[in-house]
Amino acid sequence: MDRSPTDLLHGTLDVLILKTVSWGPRHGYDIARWIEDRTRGELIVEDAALYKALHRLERARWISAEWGMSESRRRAKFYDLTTRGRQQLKSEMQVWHRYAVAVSAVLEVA
Amino acid sequence: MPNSNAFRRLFRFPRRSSDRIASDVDDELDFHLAMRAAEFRRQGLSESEAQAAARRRFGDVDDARLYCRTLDTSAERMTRRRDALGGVGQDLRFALRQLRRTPTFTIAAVVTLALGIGANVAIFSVVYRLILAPLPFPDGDRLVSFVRAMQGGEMTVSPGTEELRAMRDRARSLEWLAGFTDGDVVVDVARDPRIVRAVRIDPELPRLLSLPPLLGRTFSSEETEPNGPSVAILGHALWQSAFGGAADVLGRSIAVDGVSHTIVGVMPRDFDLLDRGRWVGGELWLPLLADDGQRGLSILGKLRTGVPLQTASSEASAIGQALTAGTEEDKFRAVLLPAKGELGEETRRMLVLLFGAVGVVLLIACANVASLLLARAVARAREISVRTALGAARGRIVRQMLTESVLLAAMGGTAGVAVAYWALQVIVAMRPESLSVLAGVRIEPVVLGWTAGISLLTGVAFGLVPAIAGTGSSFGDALRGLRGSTGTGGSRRLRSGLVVAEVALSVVLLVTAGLLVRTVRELGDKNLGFDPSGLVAARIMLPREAFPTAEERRAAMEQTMEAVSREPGMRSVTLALDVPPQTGVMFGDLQIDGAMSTGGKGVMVPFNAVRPEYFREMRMRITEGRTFERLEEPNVVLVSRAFAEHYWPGQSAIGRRLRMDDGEWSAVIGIADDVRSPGNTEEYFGSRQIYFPFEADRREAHLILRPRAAEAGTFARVVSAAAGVNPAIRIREYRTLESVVAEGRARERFTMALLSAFAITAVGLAALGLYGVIAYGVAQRTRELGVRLAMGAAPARVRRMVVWQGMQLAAAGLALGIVGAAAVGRAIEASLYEVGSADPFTYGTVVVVLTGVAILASWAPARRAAAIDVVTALRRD
Repeated sequence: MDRSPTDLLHGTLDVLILKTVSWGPRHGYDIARWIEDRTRGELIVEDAALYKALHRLERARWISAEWGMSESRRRAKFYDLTTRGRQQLKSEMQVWHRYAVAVSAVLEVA
Repeated sequence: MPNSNAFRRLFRFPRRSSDRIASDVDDELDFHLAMRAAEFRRQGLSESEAQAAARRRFGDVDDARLYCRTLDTSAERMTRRRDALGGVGQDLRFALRQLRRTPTFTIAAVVTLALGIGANVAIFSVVYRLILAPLPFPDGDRLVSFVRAMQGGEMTVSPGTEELRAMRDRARSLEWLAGFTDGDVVVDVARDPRIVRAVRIDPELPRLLSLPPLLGRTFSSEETEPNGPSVAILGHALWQSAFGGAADVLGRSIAVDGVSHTIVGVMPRDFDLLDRGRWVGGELWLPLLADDGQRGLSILGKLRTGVPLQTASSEASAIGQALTAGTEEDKFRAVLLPAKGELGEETRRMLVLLFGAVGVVLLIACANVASLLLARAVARAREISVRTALGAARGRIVRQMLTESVLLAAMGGTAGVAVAYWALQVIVAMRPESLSVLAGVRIEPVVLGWTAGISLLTGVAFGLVPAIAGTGSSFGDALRGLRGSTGTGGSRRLRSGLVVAEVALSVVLLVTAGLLVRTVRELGDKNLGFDPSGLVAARIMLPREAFPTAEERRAAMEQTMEAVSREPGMRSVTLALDVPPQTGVMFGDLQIDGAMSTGGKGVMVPFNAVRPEYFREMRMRITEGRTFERLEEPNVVLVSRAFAEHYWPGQSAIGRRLRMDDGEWSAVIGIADDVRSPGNTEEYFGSRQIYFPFEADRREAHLILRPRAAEAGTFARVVSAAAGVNPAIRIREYRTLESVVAEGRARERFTMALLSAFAITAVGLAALGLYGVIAYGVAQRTRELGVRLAMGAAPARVRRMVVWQGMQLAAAGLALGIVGAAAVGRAIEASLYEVGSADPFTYGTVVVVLTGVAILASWAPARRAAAIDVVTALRRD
């Protein structure tokens, strides 16, 4: 907890969430943990920002929500990718890849 | 599952309130914080430290909470709005899919509705054309007809030239007034003489009605002089048929009654004139001659803007009275009537009957479809219960089912317009002469609006009951109901009630149609009082200018009869003033020898003037006394049986004397069979008839011919025979007596045919309804019937049981229907002739027919019931 987590670039959180729920329904805590684990702690998402993003994506109908039971037998809200969200994820991933390639090209020349 | 998305939306979460949204957000965040705290606890922190760490790790909890709540609330609003809009389209798609899945149901419902709606649209189109349609002239509602009418307006006479002139000079409530008169002329085009309707018009009429000739010009005032140039304007149809629509027709000549006329114009296709609702469409137009003393004019006028008809009519009466004070004609008041005409009593009666009939057909159709939908709702009870249990709102399901029935109604309405289009063509083809205006009937936009209206109303009406009944049962009820052998009791009773109502309504229609059929049969040829078969009549006219004296007329008349009878192929010829059944009517004071006088009041007496052989030619029996001994036997008359019985009840009329007004007294020498006039049952047109001897010095009469065979050339030969006597003799209105009779009966036939068609439709629909209920009942009771058969019940017994069930419904409907029919029968008594409204024959036939139909309708399901496979039946479900 002593390292300062890498700040997320604007808009990156959305695509990470979409990707995370693309394998099946997950609740918010699960999503947060999954991102942390996958990036081995390189990316720490602020919980408040995560929940704001989840509700924003739900309103955009990219993800849908349903109440269910967590592993610990508690009532939890599960998020799942919708058809619309899957299309959105695809196009955002393409944008992200092009962006990453472009940035790397510049950085390597320098 | 196909289209699972749409389906899932039907099971969507119930709507969330704002409180619910807030607590959902709280729960979600609390869960997260608890999970985080647990994570920290596992890393060794104490309970309170873990909670604090979780909050720190989260960031601004309250800010996130507020953000999420706001966002969710607005999302909920958006979803609701989208559901309301998208729901309709989604409902429609779902409904279409449901209808496609059950094609038999859909076709039955659509055909049923199409018949009901189609019949309504057709009759509404007729009513629209007869009552509501505006006249095709600018300011048509201000057009009036000027006539002289007896009190009550039943009997009218047409005014003459002097009155036209006086009204034109003095009436200030009228913009203009113009006369016309119509009659038949013989035109000779390429040696093919044909009778066409010619209308003599005021030269100004086309301009006044804003309908100028299509080609050429209208008449000039010089051409209205009695000795002016002979000119004619062709009607559109004659222009097409006789001249092939040639553009260079102007200036060519046409022989009208043997006189060459120069063609100066062609009228547009729609140029028709109006006289009290009678459309006068000329095939040939001639100038109305400006000579005095013409009678029998049709006079059309236009009210000044803002002047009420009543005011103008009072003014006309005052002017008319000043003209005729002290004369015979004063009995008739000068009045203005709407040119569009008022519906006669008989037309109104006909329309009420037909409107009632199509209303009943629509009711039956609706009951049928409601019954079908109800059966389906029961069949779908499980689907609905499942949906309700999964959280679909009841309102949502009712809406879905309503959508289905409105969609059905829309399909039915569309098919109904097609049915109506076809029905209108049939109606136009068989319209009676008196309703010639129906030729222009079509499905107007207004009528389409009416269709849309009744379709929608029908959809909502028959959709609502099953929709509510279908969702009324709670989850458990429906599942239990499905497992049981019968449908829910309530819906079965409702369907049975509907079928009973259907049968009852069709009984009412069938009885009404039956009574009218009987009336028309009673009025049939065998009861006319004479035999029209093989007879042909032609009017003979001797123009005043060519035959000024009685001697000349007598010679011409008798020689013509001679000449015609010498024509080959002519069996016999006689002369009479008029052709039955529509003869002339005298109006005046009838005095009966010793018995009575009608005093100053006057009566209508139909009369004819005939030669001695007339009764033999017409195959009329002289039941008492004799016919005339010789031509023009003085001071004797024959009367009809009805006349004799009315004026000399219980006594012999032979030798009694009578006279009209101040005429000579005549003795009754014979009594002839009554001649019935089929189109009219009114008193004065009844059969109380006087036959005077025919005097041959008349200007007009009818030749009644019996040609050996009905050949096309007979008319031409009669014309040429008459021309051989004197070219000035005119022969007109060449018609078979059978067609004259048929024309008089056309209205009854028309009403009867339409009513019968509707009654048959109604019975068919009721049979379909009965079949539906019985068949459905059998399907529902498959298990029970299977058990019965397994227990050894004979198939015949099961069959009887099912048929018996159908018979019970039919019997209830019959009983109710007979009560209703009795009431309707009394209401239509005025339209019946020689048939009591409680005619046992009609009722008997209806009972037999309906019983037969009911047996037929239940027979197929009964056979199916008896053939149920026991094993399958018991294994089902």
